[in-house]
Amino acid sequence: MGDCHYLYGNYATKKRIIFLRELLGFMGIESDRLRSRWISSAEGPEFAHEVIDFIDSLKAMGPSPLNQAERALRAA
Amino acid sequence: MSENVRSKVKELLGSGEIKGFLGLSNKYGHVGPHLFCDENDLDHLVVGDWKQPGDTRYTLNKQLIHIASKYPEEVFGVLVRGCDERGLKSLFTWNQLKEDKLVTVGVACPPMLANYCECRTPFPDEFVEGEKTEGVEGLSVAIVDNLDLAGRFDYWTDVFSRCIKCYGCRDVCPMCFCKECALEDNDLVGTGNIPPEIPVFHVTRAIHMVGRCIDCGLCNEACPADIPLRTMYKKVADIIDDQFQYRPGYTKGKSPLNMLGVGTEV
Repeated sequence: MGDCHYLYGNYATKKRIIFLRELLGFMGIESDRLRSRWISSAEGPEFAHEVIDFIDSLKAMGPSPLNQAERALRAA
Repeated sequence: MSENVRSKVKELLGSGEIKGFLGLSNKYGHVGPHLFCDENDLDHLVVGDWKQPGDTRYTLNKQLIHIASKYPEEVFGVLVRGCDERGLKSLFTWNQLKEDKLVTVGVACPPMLANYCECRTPFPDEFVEGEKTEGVEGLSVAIVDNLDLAGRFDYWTDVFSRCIKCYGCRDVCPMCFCKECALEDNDLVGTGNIPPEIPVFHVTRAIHMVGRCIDCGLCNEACPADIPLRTMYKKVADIIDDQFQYRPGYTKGKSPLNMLGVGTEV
């Protein structure tokens, strides 16, 4: 935190992510579908690791309810 | 029940303390906003009780922003309920109105209205009309919270699919004072479809209401599709209060989302 290229950018992001995760839960969308991590551009392996980990957790959750709702609306 | 308000306004206008009073008038059976400038022409001044208490509330603060910007040197009076006063406090924080250029004339809401609104403080700090009613802790948020994840999703998808994208919620909102609106930006929120993208349209608005929404509920009342917007915005305020100990209209100072970095780490 605080090492952001945009100075206070990641503080601003962190607050918004905290809020949005809560709101998503209230909207009926798994809050774990939203993730933020701080990774420097010099930390390639770390980045790859996070993305793979995120993909695994998304796969475990299955397709987004939004996707299905969208399809149902179009079909109706 | 507007006699006390009327005499207070008459006094303020008569003494020259205020240039005009922004309140509600009942003319030809319609209640609407009106800027009263003549102390002898207050017969049609009302507090917004038409068929039921407070059923003709209006976004007076929003009109006031326009009036005050045209006459920055003048002092104006305005009719306030608890919600309107919270709105003013928030608008002062956002530099949209100046506290020293305003005089409020308060009305306390009756229990019926307080219950309907699930209002935490159905009265302003000072009021000349009505009696103080205890704040109400609402159930509407808890009802949705108690559904399971899929239940909540179905609930919001169902209500949002009724949206006709009239922008009524935004237009009536006293806290929506931006010159440019993200909801009209095709790159941010897909435009041209009805209903608007679910839930992006409403969630975008919700995020912009963080640290602003003072729970007046006018969006909910303006909505022709009867979307329970107030429930969503009550939750927005609850989240910010839980996570950042800030509640617009109650907590002094800027919203945590409007402060930069250091000292605000969470």
